[in-house]
Amino acid sequence: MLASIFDLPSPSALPLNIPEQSTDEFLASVAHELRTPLTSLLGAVGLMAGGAAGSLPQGAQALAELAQRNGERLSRLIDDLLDLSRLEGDRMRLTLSAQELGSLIHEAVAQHQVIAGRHGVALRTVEDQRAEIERWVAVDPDRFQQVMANLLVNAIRHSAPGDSVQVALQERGDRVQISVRDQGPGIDPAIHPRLFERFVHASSGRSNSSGSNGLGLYLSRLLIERMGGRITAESPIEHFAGTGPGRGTIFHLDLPRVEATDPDA
Amino acid sequence: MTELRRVLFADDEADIRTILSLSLGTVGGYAIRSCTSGFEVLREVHGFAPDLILLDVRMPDLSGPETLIALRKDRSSAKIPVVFMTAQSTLAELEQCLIPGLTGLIVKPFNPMTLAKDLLPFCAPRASYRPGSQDILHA
Repeated sequence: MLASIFDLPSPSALPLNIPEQSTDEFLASVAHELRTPLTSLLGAVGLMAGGAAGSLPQGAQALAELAQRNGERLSRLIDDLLDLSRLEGDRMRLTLSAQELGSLIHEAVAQHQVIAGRHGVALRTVEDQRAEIERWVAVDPDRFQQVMANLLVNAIRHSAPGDSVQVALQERGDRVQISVRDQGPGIDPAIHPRLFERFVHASSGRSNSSGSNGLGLYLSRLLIERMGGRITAESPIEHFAGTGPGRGTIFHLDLPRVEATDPDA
Repeated sequence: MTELRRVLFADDEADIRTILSLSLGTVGGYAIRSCTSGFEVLREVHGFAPDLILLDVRMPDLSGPETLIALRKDRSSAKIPVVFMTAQSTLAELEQCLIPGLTGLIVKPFNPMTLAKDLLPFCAPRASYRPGSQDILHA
């Protein structure tokens, strides 16, 4: 069989593939080289903070825990920067498959019950009247869970003890919407239009003391868009009447529904 | 479940060996043998008779996967659970580490206070990597 000349890559396209591969290899090597000393650093402070080297004076204990928290933050930043580079360069491989959304949400909520409990936050799923109906979406399950984790951790960290975080599922025609609602301080209206840009912190109300690196929402947007969806946010006043203006934030993920057996899904 | 008492591990980074010694020996209470290379693992495995072997993936001379292949070819070490440690974190990178004969995977940085406990499921009788399965990934 003869290959059409139009199937062949143009000569100008060929050299472009080489630096792209090298960039990926380079970034993977940089990430690996950063994580290696970080493993020793986090290991050492983790052992100290955990009392493996004997009990520490109170001040030293607090400092070991501070170092541990920031080491973990650095570790997340390395992962996020690697994702950022691959998404912006369109080099991230996503494997989309038809997934039942209710199960994905149930899994995401279950995985975050421990962290919610630690913050004194009630994390729950709001069942709608048609909860028994299956809703299928075409997503990369690991990357979808990465987006859910980002929204849930943000919501929990910006909540006060006693607050609740609610996850709801709603059908909207041929699309389905997942909402994550918190009762935190809300989003500064001045920040709102740039919320999903990189290195934007949703302060002033949602302060950076939570350990956010300003990449989570940006990466979430890029990932959900690669899965054919949208992410939006609102900071309503009326939903939380009596608790003061600007309280609470809702993040919405909007995805097209697919057939459970769709071979292209 | 086979009882986990003796762990042999290998990493070419001296500092990580120190962390592993404290994490598995002091915190976990296991009898440990620390190795600096895959070759040393192959020399030590018979005398030490570990219940589990923990291998860094990227080691000079003999990598984790190459060490695993050599261990599986030797009848006396063929059935010892082998767990890789890797600083790779994307799924595609992790998938490259999953080779037949592997029991499990630990991602660096790991939690040094829970590592000893995190290794326990890998000593279950049928803990082994099945192609296409993600259920043994411990991130």
